[in-house]
Amino acid sequence: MLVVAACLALVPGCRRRATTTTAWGQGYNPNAGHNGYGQPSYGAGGAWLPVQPAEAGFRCQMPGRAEVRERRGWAEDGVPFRTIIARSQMRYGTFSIASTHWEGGIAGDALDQTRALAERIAEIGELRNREVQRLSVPGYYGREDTGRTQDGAFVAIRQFVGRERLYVAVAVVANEQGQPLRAAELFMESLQFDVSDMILPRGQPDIALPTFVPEVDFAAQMPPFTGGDSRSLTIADQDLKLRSFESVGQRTFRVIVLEMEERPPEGFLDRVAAQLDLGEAGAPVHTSGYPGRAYRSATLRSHAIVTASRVYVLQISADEGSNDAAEAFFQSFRIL
Amino acid sequence: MRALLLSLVFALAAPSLAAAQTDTIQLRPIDRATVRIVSLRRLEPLATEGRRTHQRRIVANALSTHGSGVAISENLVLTARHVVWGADHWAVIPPRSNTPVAARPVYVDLEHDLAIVYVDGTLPHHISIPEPRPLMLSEPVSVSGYPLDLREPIPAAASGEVSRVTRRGELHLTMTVNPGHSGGPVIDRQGRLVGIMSARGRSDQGIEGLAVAVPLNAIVAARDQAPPDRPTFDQSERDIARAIAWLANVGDRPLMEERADIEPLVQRASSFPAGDADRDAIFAALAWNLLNELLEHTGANGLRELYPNEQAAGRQLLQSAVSLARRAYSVGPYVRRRYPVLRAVRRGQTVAHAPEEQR
Repeated sequence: MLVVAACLALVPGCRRRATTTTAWGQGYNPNAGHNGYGQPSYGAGGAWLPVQPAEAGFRCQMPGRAEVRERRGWAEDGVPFRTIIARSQMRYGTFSIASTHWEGGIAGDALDQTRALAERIAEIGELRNREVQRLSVPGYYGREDTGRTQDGAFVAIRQFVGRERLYVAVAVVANEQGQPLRAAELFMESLQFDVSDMILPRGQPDIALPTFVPEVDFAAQMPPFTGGDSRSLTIADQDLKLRSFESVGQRTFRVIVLEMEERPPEGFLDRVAAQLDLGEAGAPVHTSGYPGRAYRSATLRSHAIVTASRVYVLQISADEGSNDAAEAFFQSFRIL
Repeated sequence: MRALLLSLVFALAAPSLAAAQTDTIQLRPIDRATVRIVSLRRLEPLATEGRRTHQRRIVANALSTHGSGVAISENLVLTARHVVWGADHWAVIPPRSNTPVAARPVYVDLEHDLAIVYVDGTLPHHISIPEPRPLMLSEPVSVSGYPLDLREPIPAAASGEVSRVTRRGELHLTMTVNPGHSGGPVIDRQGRLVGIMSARGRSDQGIEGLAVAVPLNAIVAARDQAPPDRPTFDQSERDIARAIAWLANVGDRPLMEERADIEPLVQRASSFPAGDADRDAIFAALAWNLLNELLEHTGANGLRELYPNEQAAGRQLLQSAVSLARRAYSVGPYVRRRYPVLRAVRRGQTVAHAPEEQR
């Protein structure tokens, strides 16, 4: 189909964050009652078989027998790439996934590249009723774009950014309720990725590692994440999205990112500090040229930094002997 | 005979005319204290075709921003906050000079578009911050700065008048300013500081001839809030400032003309211990760009085609570029985001394959 061909042609070397979260279209809801990653038991027009091409970094389930092929070439910067594509075509739809690896890994703004790829595919496929959603997949950045072609076929595109590879999964299914949409859902839910390709490091707790979270544009030296939070809140009549990333071990390291639609008003940081209970205000600080202020409570030392559209709050346990660790953490923090 | 005499006169007069042109512009005290501030944001790959070899080469394209600032002491510069934000390395260049000095913000204001930057060494000229006074509507003012072209070593002036002070405390001026003026000093007819240039009205929103400055009372408050302790700079930071200036083409000279200064710095960067991914990335890019210029300068497709007396230097540059790029890659994952050119540099291929698929 044109959309699938477009996806496969555009994937390697192709170029605003998916910040919109919307409801799923009816009949397609991979997050509702899914059975984890791949239990082929639905007989949706053919047996579902495992697909795990060598050195592709993914595995999944596809209906029927998938065709696997490889493409090699050179990117714009002269770096060789290799794309492994698995594709299965049934009467009611086409399912494909492409894994691209560049020598030296993914460079530049990968999230911007996924956005550009999705836009390009949507343009070629003339998709209507588009929806965009960020996907929560531990260790990877993921986004999903869905839409309908002119003849009503349902299209779902999932992209996952790893450390070395970009994964693009596409399902295009007929304009029928039930089986086709369910098949698309099953395919997408069956996707699994090689953990060694995770963006966010796994390692020993309490040992700081270079950490980069592209979705909210920060890098720091901190231990691997053990948890986090994602929710909405309102401060000073501003609706904000809060995301936190924390590592709880001998010490607590935490980065809270508040995203705003509008520029922060005067005195906003003080209100954020009060709402998040950061404690007593201290000296002015700055990170990557952005202004902020230090805070201290009974248990935590914090730096709160303001940019044009975000507030970053860096926190570390305020126990005795943590000064060096705190300074190292704060000094390592960058806003990209 | 008459023609010969005339040509002789003009031949003798030409250097004098050239000298007279540079002397026709005299700088005011405020201009002598106005500096350029350069921030390096990214190093991206740029595909070029060699002028002599016509080979496809990938070079590092520095995405930098620049603004203006004014020295308020021998080592403090006042500028706009947005001139320094979004970067982790800065260089300050005094007027009539292309030699950068390392710089680092010591204070970034939360409420106003102001920052104070500390520089390594001593700036030759500075101004004092006067006590705030009421401004008169329609009072003539001017701004000094480096609009549009970072390579211009002398600041440019723009003139206008005070339009109003808004309810949010912004100083509105009737004046036309351009990108690069940000952070520049706004002065009155007596040459006294009245504000720091911050923004201009957007013509796509129907706003013309409006410039926005941060007024003096906010500047005085920022100065008083700035912490008294001053950072120290090490050799690595001084070298980075010079590298930024070369990559941003501040001096408007080919790297080959600065080679005698660049090569020792590249070697020194290679000798520093690993751990500073930014330094490694910046010097990897600088070594790479110099290597590519060397190859093109001699019309060589690769190292083997360099003249024998240049091959050792070429090999050294290649080795430095590749090893620094790989070292940067290994230290920080954000390196790939900020310095995507390193993906190509670490391969060490001075002739780049065109983008295509293998058949």
